[in-house]
Amino acid sequence: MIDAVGGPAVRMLGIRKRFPGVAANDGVDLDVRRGEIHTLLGENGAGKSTLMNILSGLYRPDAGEILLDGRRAEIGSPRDAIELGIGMVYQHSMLIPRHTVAENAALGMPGLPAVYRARDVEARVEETAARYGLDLDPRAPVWQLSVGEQQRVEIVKMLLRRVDVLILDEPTAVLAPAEAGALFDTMRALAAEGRAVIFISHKLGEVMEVSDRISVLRKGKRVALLERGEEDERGLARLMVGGGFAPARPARAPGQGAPGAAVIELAGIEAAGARGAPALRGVDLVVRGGEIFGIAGISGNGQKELEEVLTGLRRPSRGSYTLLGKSMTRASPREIIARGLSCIPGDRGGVGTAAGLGAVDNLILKNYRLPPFARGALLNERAAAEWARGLIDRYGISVPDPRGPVRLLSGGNLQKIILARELSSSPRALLAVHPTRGLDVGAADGVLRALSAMRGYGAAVLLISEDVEEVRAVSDRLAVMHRGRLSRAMAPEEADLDTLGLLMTGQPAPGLGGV
Amino acid sequence: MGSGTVKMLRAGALAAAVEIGVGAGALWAFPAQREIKAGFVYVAPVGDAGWNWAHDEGRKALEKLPYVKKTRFVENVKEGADATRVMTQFAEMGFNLIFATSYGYMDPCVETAGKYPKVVFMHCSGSKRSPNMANYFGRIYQARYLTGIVGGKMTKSGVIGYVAAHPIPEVIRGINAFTLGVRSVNPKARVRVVWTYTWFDPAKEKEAAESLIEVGADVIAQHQDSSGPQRAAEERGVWGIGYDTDMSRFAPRAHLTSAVWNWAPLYTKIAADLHEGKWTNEPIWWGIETGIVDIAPFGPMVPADVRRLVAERKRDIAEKRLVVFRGPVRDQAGRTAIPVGVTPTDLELYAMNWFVEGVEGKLPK
Amino acid sequence: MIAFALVKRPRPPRALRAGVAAASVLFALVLGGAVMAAIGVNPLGAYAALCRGAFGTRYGLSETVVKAVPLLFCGLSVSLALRMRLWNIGAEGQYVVGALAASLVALGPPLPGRAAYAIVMLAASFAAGAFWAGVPGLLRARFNVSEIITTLLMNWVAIHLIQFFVYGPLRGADGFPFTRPFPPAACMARLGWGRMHAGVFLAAGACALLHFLLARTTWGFEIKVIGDSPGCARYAGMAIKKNIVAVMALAGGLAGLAGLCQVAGVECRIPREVFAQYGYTAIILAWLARAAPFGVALVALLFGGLLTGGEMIQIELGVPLSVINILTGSILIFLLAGDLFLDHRVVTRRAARGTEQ
Repeated sequence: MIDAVGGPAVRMLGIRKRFPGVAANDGVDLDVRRGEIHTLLGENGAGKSTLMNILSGLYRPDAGEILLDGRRAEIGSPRDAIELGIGMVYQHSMLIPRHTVAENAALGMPGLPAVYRARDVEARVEETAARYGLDLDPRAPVWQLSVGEQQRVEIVKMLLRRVDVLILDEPTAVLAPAEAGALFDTMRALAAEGRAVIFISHKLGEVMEVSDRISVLRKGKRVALLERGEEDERGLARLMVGGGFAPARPARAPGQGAPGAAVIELAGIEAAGARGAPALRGVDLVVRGGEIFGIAGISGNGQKELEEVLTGLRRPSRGSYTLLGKSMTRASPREIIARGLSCIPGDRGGVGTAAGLGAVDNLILKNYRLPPFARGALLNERAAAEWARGLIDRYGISVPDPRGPVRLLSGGNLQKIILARELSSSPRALLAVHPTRGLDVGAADGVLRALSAMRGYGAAVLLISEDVEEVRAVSDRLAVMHRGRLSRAMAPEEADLDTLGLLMTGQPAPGLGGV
Repeated sequence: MGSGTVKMLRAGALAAAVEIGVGAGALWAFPAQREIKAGFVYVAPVGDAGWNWAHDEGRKALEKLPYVKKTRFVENVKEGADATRVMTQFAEMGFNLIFATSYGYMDPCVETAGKYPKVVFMHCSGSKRSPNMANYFGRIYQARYLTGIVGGKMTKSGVIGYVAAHPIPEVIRGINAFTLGVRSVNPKARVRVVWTYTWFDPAKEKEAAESLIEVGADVIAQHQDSSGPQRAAEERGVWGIGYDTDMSRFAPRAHLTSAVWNWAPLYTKIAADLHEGKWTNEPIWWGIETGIVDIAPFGPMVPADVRRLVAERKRDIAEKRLVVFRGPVRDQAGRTAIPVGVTPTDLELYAMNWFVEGVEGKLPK
Repeated sequence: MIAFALVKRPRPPRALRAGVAAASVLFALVLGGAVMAAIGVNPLGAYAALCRGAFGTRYGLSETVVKAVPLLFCGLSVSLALRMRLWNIGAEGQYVVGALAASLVALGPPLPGRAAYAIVMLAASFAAGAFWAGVPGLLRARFNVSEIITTLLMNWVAIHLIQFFVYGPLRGADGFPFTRPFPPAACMARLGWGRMHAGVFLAAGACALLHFLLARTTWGFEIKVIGDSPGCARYAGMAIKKNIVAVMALAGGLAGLAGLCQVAGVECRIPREVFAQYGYTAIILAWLARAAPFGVALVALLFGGLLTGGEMIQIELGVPLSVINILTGSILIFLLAGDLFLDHRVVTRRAARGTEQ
């Protein structure tokens, strides 16, 4: 295992880390060489993030040691890690939105003179970005950037701090396919220069594509170390999930009875986005009971606004919205909920859950005013706790402390809480926005099964997702969203990947009359 | 009736109309106290100048008496309920002489005195008495009259600014006496009044002085306990007249004089009377002849003839040849307020709520 | 060289809290003691006097409680708002208008009997405080105007308003800026222990009620969710704007009752300076108590004790006020600093460097 060129850059031995109720890392070994892209593969909660948080100084391990170039190192804080040449790019941007790219990059940059000279820093940012094929305008304020661009800023920031072990925590979770491709090119360039790149992911396709070696983690332990090409996707999935699991998506059941009456009806909906620019430009849509209608498309084309219009958080400026035969165009969120729409929001931590509150509170979020949780104005804590316990069991949510903040839970468990809550009311209509984003195969599969179960009960399901495969796999009908408009609805059979790709980038697809 | 000696009221009818408690109008004596423990209640921190500092100088004089076992003070006690607590704690801790040095302590003082009949309460500037509670004050308006003479002589613009604290009789009386002094030597001069509604707020009081200088005042007088107005005079190159204590060190180039308090002789006498069994609840309102009020040493800019004139007038007041408020005195509107030859009673002075002619300013209604 | 760095704890251990608070107070006492020793005062004697004055005698204890009443009400007011991440900097002003409204009733046309006075004065002071905070609440809800600024500005309006009344229409007969005393029926019943008055029960009741409201009602649940995540609350169908106004109004009403207790329970008139910084102190109080009602009660008693006990140090030992302010100030700073160390841990930076194996 020892590299001929001089040993691994990073070596972690017997790392253990316990959190209340969970052994997140249970004696993990890892070694990463210079010049390689080393992937950490595992389900949510397998311990990938914990391990990397230890390496980047955010956590201290309970046991185990870290060797950097063969020397023992104590990493007490992220700053120590940086000094030792280890940098981590987190899933969520840690940038200051009001500052420019260059100003953000300048934070923590070594050898910066006491007086900030914008032009020097901008030049350095530009030069570094260009060298690794990162497309960036150093003078742009960060709030104007897309998520992908912000990620590039983080990478440049790390490079300017002369980091030679770069950790990327699920960087592709927030990227469009084309952006992900560009990121992989950058990663390869960095590795080629002799840096060690640690890549965290659970998307099997991209893992296969980009990794030199793969460490598979499961339940806090490393279960496999693979060289490139040693296993195929199926094999990786089996290692990840354990046992003989093979990802199987719920197939459509065409004979499951004809779709019923229209449940969600949108006609000519127009709405402005957060900054006042038009975001929805005349959306027509009918979702019937007993069908899954899928909307594919790249994020930022009006999906968020559509979600907000449907849940009553945003007033359409024109058009009509009807739910189960009743106009909801000017209804409040509460009225829409009462009418029977459940929603799995696109923003799990900020909208779907109150992150600082416990699982119990989050599970009664929408029915706390109904008996048995409310007796008049009083809240029945016991009924709530009992109800929550039931849901936690039924959905297999792993919650060490039902009163502890859900912010500490993994993405998969968070999504399970939302699912449990939203499905428990037996909704007539269900809106699911990016419901599998950031989830591992097992968890994503569970979500999709739940959606099709709802269809089986006769609910109208509207699925908004960036994952084209997923939309094609589960939808009865689908359309593509681009720049605030929906394409014509089509059957999955008509929507091959090429056609969808064209529609997603706004080019007219032959014979479909899209846009 | 008390068992002590009954004397004639020396301070006039001041307290007669507002007596409370048993034996209204009567004088009550108090048994001799072998040892005295004196407690002082101050409305603001002692600081290094001003009203509370002047009282604290009086307290220090008490400490020199052999039968005064100890003295203590509590600073920054709000008028009202807090004062009741502090006085109660003093009484509980065995203090037998309590000085309450702010007007707003009056009702708390009455209340506490009723509960602790074996403790003597002395309330400064008030009007209520009970068998073991008396009030005391000094005729600072006499000193103000004298400083008015200096101001009237020194002004060139004929406009004198007066930074006034709260619109209450004590302050109004001071403004009136000062104005009478000014106009006794400079009949055309005017005294412009600005209210700050503060006793101690250096920044605000300095600002008020600056606003007066803006409108042409070339002498700044004040009633507050801070040196803010004097500092303003110093900075803007006009004259200043201070209050409470000698404020010359805050404004060496501007300071003409100050109307000052000297509580030591009075406090010493009160303690001695109590020690010798001669204390009664007779109200005390001492004048300039006793030294309790005075004017601070003149600044070098005050000419000799002015100094001579002020000295003469001071002697006249001390020997009762000059009575500050003896008529004729006209009010702001020019109507006769005090007819020729009439001297207002102390009670009338005590409740004064109108301005004399020559004052420019309004009283809130 | 060893340098130190603060690292945020993932989750502050709960058991540490009491220990750290105790250690903070201890540190402050040591520091204050050093200052007193430096000016020749025996610190142990001073602390004995502090305890005796604040809690050691029947009278001292009653005064501490009386002092804690307005602090408790104002602290509850700030805490309630804080639960929804609203900053009520205006408890001071709400306290003042509450006192004013109660006084206008007490000094107005006579009412038939104690009960009538009690009910009308209670309603008036609560309504005045609620209005005073409700306006900033409305501005925040409708126009997103920062309640920090508006509540602060409303304080000045309140203080000028009460000055107008005390120097004007309500001024007592002797021309001095106090109102005349309230008729006896308008003063709160005394409990026969020092100056403890019926407001003590009112405050204790308000404290328990607020705890119940926050912990056990659906409205409390909404406040909790909105405070934690407004985005999630909106999505769950909660009316955020209405709740902002309602919470601010209730918070203002609580501060208004502080004014009622002070004028009707203790002063029985409006003294010249009815405003006594209770509203500002309450912000520190709420912070230290982490906006928990019973915690506020505890801290309010501690503050009341520091005030009354501080006077006793002056009386017994002749220590100047400035030294006592150093003592109380350092207790506060150490408590706040202790909070910081609860949420963060200190690491020495030497440990961070790589060492030879």
